[in-house]
Amino acid sequence: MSSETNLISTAGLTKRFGKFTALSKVTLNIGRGEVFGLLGPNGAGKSTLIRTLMGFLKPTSGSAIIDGLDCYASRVDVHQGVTYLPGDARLYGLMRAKFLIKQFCGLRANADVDRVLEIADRLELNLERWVGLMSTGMRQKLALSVCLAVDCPLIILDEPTANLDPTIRGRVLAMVSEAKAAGKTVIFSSHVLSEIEEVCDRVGILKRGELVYLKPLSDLSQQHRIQFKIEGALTPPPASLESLVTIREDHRGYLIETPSKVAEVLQWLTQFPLEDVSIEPIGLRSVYDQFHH
Amino acid sequence: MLFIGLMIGVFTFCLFRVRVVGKLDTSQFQQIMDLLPKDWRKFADVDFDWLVSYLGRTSFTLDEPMLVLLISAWAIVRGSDVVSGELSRGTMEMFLAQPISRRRVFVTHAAWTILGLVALVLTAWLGMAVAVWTTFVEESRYPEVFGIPLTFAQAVKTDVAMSSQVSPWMFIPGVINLFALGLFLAAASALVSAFDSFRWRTLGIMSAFYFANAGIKILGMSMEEDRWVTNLSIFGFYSPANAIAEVQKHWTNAFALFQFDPAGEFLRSGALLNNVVLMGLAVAAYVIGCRRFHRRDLPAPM
Repeated sequence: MSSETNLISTAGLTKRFGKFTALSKVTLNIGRGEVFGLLGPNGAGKSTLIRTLMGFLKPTSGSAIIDGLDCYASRVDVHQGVTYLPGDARLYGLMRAKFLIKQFCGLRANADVDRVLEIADRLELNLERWVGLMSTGMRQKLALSVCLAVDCPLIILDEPTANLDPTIRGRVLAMVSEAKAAGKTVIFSSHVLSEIEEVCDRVGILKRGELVYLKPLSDLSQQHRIQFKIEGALTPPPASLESLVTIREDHRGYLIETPSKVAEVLQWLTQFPLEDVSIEPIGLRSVYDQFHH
Repeated sequence: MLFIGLMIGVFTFCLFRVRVVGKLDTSQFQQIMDLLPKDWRKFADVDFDWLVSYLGRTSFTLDEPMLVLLISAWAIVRGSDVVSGELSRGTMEMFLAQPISRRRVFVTHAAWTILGLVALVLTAWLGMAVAVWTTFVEESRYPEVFGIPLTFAQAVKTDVAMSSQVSPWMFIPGVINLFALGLFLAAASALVSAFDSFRWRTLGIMSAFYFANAGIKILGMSMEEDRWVTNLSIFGFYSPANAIAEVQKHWTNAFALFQFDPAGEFLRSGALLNNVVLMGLAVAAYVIGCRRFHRRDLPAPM
């Protein structure tokens, strides 16, 4: 994919801290207008990847490019086109929220104070409060307001819904969808699989610094899992399904996973006396568990 | 808040200190100085006899540990905040996520620190100057006829404005030396901060550095044969009263690199060399600190 279609490209991106490898040869392309979900357990390297893209960390080897600019060498220019919400957003406590917003907007040419106020209102945030007297959730809303109000082609959100109640979470996800509709690119890092499934186009899973899974979410919706029991043995599937399906047997019976053609698989299975049948789509949970259990 | 507090502290300390020592009876002050052990003279950078004069005793305000501590507090606290302070608070990420270069952050912070330092140093001078301008001292004077003092007559005690004895502008060489010391401490603190991630540790390192240097100076001054040891300490380049005393002898001494005794033996570094060393080291510390901050990895908030 060319740099005209890709906003973000990493090639063999590696980051080591002494003997510890936080990122290992991560090669990733994220297209313009794409909402990319980044998943992984604690310590998988999600924040390290994001912080390397933001130029806070110097890669040990490999490259990270945003819109044709090196993330480390040209970080100030990169930041012109990026708005970033850290996983643990800390703000200056000795000022009122409104004053803090004006200070941050003053650092950017493409920041709009009115837009920030509009988003803060949508997130039900009182801006007259001193930041130091706000709860964790309120500070998260304030950081989101500052971040989402900037008109940038790339939005990076690291755990954006942390410490937020369900109603506000829903509004944040709606804002992400609005950003996508406006043609912006979003990197969405989260532990909440349902949020990734709801807003993202593609998902990448990190495990111990390596990118172990990278697929569009639309592919996942096509995949199904069929579990059942039968008396006797299961005969091999027809030739048309042989290369597609995965069949496993354990103490609970048979488990068939198919990336597509679920109707054909069911048609083949109807010849058997099935018991305790269950059919479910292979969600992100199953994929995630595959790599982290 | 820190700045306002220090400003008030510096001004009031200098004001009252100059006022109090100015009002001491000169002859009594001379007697006190004569009573002090001769050994103690080596701990002063100036002649004890000069300290008896109005200029001497008021200038020594700039050598007072309290004033040096107040100025140093500003320098060290501000300097420590630039990198390790932001990292300790966790606010560095949100801040540097904006399109602003690290160099600009460092330089802007240093500029405000130096501006504050200038303000504090000028406040110290102002406190001393206001005290000089508003204090009256008791002087014994002989009556005069046609401008000729009648020394056989009884001296009359009169209140005389201290400003007739001391010009506050004479304090300037010492004030410049005070600024140079503050600048060095601010830069050194910023340098340590640029390498560190914890502000408490930066403050600890700078405090240890400060008191170790103070100890080295005292040690050096106690050893008459090895006074060069004082120049191993940054306080060896801080002699504001001495700078004022030398400029009082001749204004060109403000640009002296070295001082010599009447026999031509080397005594100590001159006023200009003191300031050049302190300010030169400050510039070097700021440059190295800025480069380090520009290149280092930023740890995630803890």
